[in-house]
Amino acid sequence: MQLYNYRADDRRFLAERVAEFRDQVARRLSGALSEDEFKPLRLMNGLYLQLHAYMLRVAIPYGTLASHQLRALAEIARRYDRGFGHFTTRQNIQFNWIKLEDTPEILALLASVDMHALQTSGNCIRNVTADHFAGVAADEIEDPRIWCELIRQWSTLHPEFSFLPRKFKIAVTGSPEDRAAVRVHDIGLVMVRDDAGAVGFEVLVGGGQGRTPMIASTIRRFVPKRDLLSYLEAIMRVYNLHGRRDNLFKARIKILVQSLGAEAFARAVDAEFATLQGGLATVDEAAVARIAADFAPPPYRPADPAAPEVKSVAAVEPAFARWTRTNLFAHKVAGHTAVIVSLKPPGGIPGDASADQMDALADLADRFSFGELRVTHGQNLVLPHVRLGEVPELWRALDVHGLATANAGLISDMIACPGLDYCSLANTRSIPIAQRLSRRFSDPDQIDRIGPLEIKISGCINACGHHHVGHIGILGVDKKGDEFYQITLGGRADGARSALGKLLGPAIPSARVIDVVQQIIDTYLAIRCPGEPFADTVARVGVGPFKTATTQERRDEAA
Amino acid sequence: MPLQVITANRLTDGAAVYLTPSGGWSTRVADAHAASDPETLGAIKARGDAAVADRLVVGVYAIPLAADPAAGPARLRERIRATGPTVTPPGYRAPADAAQLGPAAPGVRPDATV
Amino acid sequence: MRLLDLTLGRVVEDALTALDAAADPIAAIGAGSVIVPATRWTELRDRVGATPAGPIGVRLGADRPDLVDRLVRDLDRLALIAVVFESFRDGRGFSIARTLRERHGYPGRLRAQGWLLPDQFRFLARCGFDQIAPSDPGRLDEWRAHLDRFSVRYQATAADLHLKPAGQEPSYAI
Repeated sequence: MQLYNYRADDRRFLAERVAEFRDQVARRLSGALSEDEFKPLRLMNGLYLQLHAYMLRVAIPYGTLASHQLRALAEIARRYDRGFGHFTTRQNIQFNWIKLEDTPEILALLASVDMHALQTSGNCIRNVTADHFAGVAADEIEDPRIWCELIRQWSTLHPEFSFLPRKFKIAVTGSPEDRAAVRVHDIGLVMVRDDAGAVGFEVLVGGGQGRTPMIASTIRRFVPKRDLLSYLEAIMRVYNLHGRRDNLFKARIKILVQSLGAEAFARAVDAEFATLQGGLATVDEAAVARIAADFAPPPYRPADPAAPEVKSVAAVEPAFARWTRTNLFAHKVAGHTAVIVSLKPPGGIPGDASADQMDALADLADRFSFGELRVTHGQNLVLPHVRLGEVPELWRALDVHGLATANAGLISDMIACPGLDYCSLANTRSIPIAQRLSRRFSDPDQIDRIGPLEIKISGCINACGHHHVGHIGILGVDKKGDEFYQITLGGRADGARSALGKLLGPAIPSARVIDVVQQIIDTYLAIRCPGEPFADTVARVGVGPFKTATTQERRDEAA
Repeated sequence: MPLQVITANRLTDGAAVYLTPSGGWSTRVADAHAASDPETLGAIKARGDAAVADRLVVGVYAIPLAADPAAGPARLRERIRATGPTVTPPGYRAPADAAQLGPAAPGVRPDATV
Repeated sequence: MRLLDLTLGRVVEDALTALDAAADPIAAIGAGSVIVPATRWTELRDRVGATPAGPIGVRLGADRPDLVDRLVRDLDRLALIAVVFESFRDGRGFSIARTLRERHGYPGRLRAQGWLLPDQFRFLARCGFDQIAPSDPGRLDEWRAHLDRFSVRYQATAADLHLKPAGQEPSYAI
């Protein structure tokens, strides 16, 4: 399995951090720390206070998980929570009914499997996310997770950058095809080659969603590996010193980049970098080699790319055939595939998995995937190292546990934030919208015909559901105490084509959302060119035809 | 003037709680001390703030009840906070403690159109 | 004020006094052992003689990193620079410290004062502060436990290379 192997130092560090948090909780309960003082400290350990209870966000670094770690998460769900967990758009997992006094024990349990909840919240550098097909994608220049792990370590309890103006999110892609949505992150890193063929990083800054969504700008075309951390320190120092601290909604780095202009911002970073380059943060090749060794490919055995088992089962089981067309990703090793495990069953809650499902998946990972899983930022899971010949057996096992929905990348593969059912920041609920949509669009032939389509739903302007980059984006707004939703079209987060969605029209009441989405789909099916996916149709014709189709009904009603 | 109650989150487990006439905290809105005149409300809120200093609760604030107080809080957010999520996650298992509400709990349904 | 002096390894009383608003700043500078606001340094610097009677310090808010530039050419004359944290959440103080130490080589005493949590002491020391003066001096009580909390670090600052007890090398060691 490809996983960073904790050394004795790393384990001692986690134990020390757990001891620190235990002490912080005790000082909160004794009154030595006020809530004002305790809040940033508990956020740095991933502990939120939400609508119903504390929510603990456990880090799954760059979305890579070992089977024994997944079993530990299942145990937390059973022992300390209510039997399930929620996988998030930043490749983490959340538990919703945590007690403060249980948290030190939970952190100790996590530490026993080399896991933690460090910096999954708070004004610090958060989980560094990556392509969920890292290490197995054929178009990859290099496995980005090696660099995610390096950045993770460098950013862990960094003495200078633990009290930033606001949260900070970094994503890394190792492929020219961006499956990590790097252009909507505070820092996006794209692995590239220079003219001599050396591998380095294109650095983008100032992307983000929320109240003021923006696409990131490139501030340096090529940073050599040895300078990566020094350059990141330069960016962080400029942000730490000059990011706004007077207004919560203007405190992200994207606002600073926008106000200075990308050019001027890049020059400020360069000035800082000039004082740091070659200094203490210079990357050590030996250290990188040690990390890289942990991400060496697993011992694949030769496998037949023709996969006769798949063909023969597909010939007699149409459901299986359909699933192989949607949920298998082309692997760089012949005869293998990366299997997308959908956590979006019809009428289900996107991203939720029960403790039993987690245990089942851990066993399946051991049997079929060298004990390794991935979490995607689309709230699904991946078994990354599966032999094609074993796919039919795997599919049957997944099906038993309700994990074989054939909808990867299709309309019912929705992203939804927890919304007002859980989150104290939300204006409206998002999960019931996702459930109703997924029931309306559950017929397999129907969703196949519609083709690739990404619906993303956020319950408030904070955009944790990534609605700005949904092909169809749905944003909940509070209108006089009722749940209303704004619909946007044309968002996308695929590399250079990344774009923010455009508003379709005024917000509509909850009861109309499904019908309006149906009208959008019907319009698309009527005007698309043969084989043209939804996102491309919207890019070609704009929002106009969809506006017309969805306002027609209101005019008819008024007539 | 609508009736209001004082609410907060319990420090130890984060549960939504409501200040009762006896000065205790209940997880049930129905148990809360409701008032509409500013003086009484002020007095109740002061007791709530004292509980923060005593490290029982955090984040004390007042919320209006619906026109028919038996329906619970006026705002959707507070209705959900009072009765739990309106959705049932896979594998959801309510705790033995019946006072901890959750999905599919009996009582007020925040939204009949779901 | 009481403060933790990391070089001495114990809590001491401040040897300098903040400039009284009513006092004559020129006289105070002449007498030394005074801390003046950094905002006034430009006007007062010429009054500091070749051999001041006592140590001179300046004080700036963590929210005024721009004032560092005014001090840079006089760093060897300043016995103390105090950075005031009006809120413990204002992380600019940490960058101010590292910039003074690592970019400008400031050799004098660097003090963090104001609303500070003991949980931050280690970060402060690692960024180069060698004096810590929380507004609530009671917070100094357990200082050693907080400083010694971690034996492992994942980054190297200039101060890290000298801090006692010796920290571990970071996992990506240079």
